[in-house]
Amino acid sequence: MATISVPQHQTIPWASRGIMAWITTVDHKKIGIMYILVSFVFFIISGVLALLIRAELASPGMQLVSTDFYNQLFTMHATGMIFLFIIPFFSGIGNFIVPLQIGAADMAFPRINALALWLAVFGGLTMFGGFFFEGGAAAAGWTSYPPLSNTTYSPSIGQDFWILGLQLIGISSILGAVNFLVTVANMRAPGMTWRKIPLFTWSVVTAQGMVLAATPMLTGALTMLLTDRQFGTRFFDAAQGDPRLWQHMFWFYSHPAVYIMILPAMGIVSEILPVFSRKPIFGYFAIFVSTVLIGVMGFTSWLHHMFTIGANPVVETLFMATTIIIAVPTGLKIFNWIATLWGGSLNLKTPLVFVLGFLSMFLIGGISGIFQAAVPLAKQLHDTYWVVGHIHYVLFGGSVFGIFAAYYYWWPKLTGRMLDERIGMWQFWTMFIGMNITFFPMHVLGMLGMPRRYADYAEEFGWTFMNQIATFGAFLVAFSTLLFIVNVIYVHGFNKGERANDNPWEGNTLEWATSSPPPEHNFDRLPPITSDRPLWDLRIRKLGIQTKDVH
Amino acid sequence: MALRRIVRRQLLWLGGVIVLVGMLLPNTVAAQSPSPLDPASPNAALIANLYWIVFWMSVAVFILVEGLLIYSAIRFRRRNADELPVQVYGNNRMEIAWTIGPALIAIAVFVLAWQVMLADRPPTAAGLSPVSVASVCFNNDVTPEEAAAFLAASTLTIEIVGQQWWWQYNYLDYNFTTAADLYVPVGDVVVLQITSRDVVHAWWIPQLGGKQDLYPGAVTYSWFQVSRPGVFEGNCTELCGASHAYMPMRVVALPPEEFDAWAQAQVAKNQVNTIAVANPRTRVQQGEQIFVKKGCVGCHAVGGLGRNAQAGPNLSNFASRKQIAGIMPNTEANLRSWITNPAQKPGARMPAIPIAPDEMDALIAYLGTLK
Repeated sequence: MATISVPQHQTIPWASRGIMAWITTVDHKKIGIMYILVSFVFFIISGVLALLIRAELASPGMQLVSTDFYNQLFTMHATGMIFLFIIPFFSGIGNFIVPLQIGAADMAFPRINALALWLAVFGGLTMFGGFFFEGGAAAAGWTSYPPLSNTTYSPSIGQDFWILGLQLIGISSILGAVNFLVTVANMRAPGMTWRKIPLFTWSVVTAQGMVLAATPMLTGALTMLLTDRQFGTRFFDAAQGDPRLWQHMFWFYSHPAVYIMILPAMGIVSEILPVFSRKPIFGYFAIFVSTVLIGVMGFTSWLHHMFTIGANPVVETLFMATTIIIAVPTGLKIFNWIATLWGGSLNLKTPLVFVLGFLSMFLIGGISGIFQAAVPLAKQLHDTYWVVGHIHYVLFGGSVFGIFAAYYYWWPKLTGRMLDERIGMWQFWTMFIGMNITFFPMHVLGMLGMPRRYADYAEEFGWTFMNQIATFGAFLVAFSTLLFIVNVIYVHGFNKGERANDNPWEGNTLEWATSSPPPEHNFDRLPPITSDRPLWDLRIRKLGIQTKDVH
Repeated sequence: MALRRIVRRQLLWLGGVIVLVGMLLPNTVAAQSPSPLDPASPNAALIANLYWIVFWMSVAVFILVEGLLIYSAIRFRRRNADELPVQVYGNNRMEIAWTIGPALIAIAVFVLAWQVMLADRPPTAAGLSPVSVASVCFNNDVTPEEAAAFLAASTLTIEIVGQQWWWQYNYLDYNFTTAADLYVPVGDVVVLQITSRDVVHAWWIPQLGGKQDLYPGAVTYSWFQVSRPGVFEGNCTELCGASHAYMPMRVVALPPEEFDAWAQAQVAKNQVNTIAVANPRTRVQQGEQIFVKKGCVGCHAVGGLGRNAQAGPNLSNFASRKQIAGIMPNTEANLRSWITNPAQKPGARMPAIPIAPDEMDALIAYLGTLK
């Protein structure tokens, strides 16, 4: 395999020091790895909460938990998965990979980088700390609509912990976003013009731009909710304020948040497809433009979460239009990805297989989103299990498959070891089948009239069978996650993992031009940045092959 | 290579999903589920129709895209470690084509949905402009003239007040109140004027149209016109606390003459604001006295008795209701269990009042007469 020569580092200088070296580090790679570790811990915790939810719903009646604790379960499941798993994972992999992809030595503000990480960690601990106090964790849903989330209806301190924790995470996100944007704007390798930036980096830039624009609205709303609860203000009070104000502010952040969670996964797809098909991405410019367009459009459609509040129908019509139109750049992306596969030489290893999982499952989430964008259908589907099914096809079928694709793709770069392919394939298939068994019946449940966030349901409504299928699937997904842990233990604990060379996948971007894992200063020297695939150009030149190019 | 097996499995799985949906959806809908796809009101019928159109469009897109994916995964897998495919960087014409394609679908869905929004209005409001009707139906922010014109056109206006965790119905045209089960006449346009007393709830009878949130301090509107007699079930659809799952609602649609008789009976009950006799002889009369003596009437009104009590559901037609407290079937044994231990509904405000066994028998006999 042709790669450029870089010195082989026998030991990894930055990984060999003790725990204090990790806690005090400002190295983007260590910070990235810690983000990823923390996010995985919260993935497991929030996943266990989901299993408790599914176990409770396996039959009518209350068997395992009280209804109040059940409300805490789904509140913390959603908050944990969104704010402490998916978003921090992308902060982590972005931290590790983005400086490498642009040929930089570190992030622009290394100390702010460390601050952002630790704020997120303590934000998470604060939020989940509610479980250890009287009254338990927050139970008003991750949407925390007032008046339910005010002190009259949610008197427990867990709700305040939820607000404070989320504010810390919000501040962490804003700091991280500034850092990413400044890094990519100023620290790119000589010759890396905007059109040569790898698409994963573009997706991170877009997502972080959205974080910067949207998160202040959330932290502002949280502050208002906190002062309503603790200092007697009336922002969201029914008589003197308006509970709907919270909904507007919350969704102004939380709708873009969906794209903040999916765009980096789309970037991972755009990164892996060319490598594993030995082709350039089909329509680099179109993918770039659609990424930015989705980022912008994400800000103009929040009201579709509120089609049942009794808004003006003219406004509803406008938001229906701005929501449905997002299908266009998304559809463009999907067809461009398929066109990248088309005529390629597909190396069906775990990263590509997880990407195929992303494409096939995200599609379903995208399609079901169209239903919910249509105002009349939304009035039926809103707040039913259909919506739960939809968001899990987007966030599990989309983001989580993207995350596991990233794990398998970049693991050798992060650790110097390859994850085991066989266990990886088993993980993929159990996860793929498991998620469909879990989430597909939820669409059906919604169409059978089952609302979401129900701790209990009556036998007579005919929802039992579908719930049982979903519960079975959830445990299959849990098993597949266990297989991933087994894989890591097998590779590192039992020392079975194949050692990774600098560029085990024939990667095209700069992170593969240094050792695995990279030295503290990242690069001894950089190859010329000839295109968005500098290492491909180098390989082809070295081999002296004439490629057939179609522009 | 295991690929062929993998692809075959994927195909089987896809096929399985489609067959599963095809088989299970209609079957389970045919069961007692309150499905929006089994409409009993013109607005719900419009939405169900739109659903199926969008559904079949989706199936087409799904098969096309998944088909392309599976085909690519099989056809273009690497057969030879050295193969070097043609380097295709893009194709503007094709990219424009598959931008326009989804755009056309998006526009089609938009237009279809918009048509439904325009058509979603009660036949009695045919004279009003579509936008103003929509405004009246779905917006609390309408001019008084618009609201008056619309309400005048409706045959029955009912105020719905939600609270943790039960529904109160004020029949504005008749001036009486009930709870839990909403009685309406078949064929009449019923306008719902909806508000909440505490947190946000959502009114949703899937077979009678879309859901509508309830806000404290604000009024929203909805309407339906039930096309056939029957009982239509629904559930609160906005998280409202510990007993969110125990806040069912029910519309009982009666033929007009039966509804009239029912309404007149409720009006008659409303005239009675004292207990029947001072010295009770029958068990039922004793029960009525216990109902007053033990303080039940402080929260639960029965007709004119305790008229202003609103802390608990009005019990005027309690014996006709399907459930007790939204958590169990209305049987004598369950009623006994409920009065003894209301804490079985999480967060319920009803206290467990000490009551002797013979008093309980009398109370239950009395409640059984409230048809």
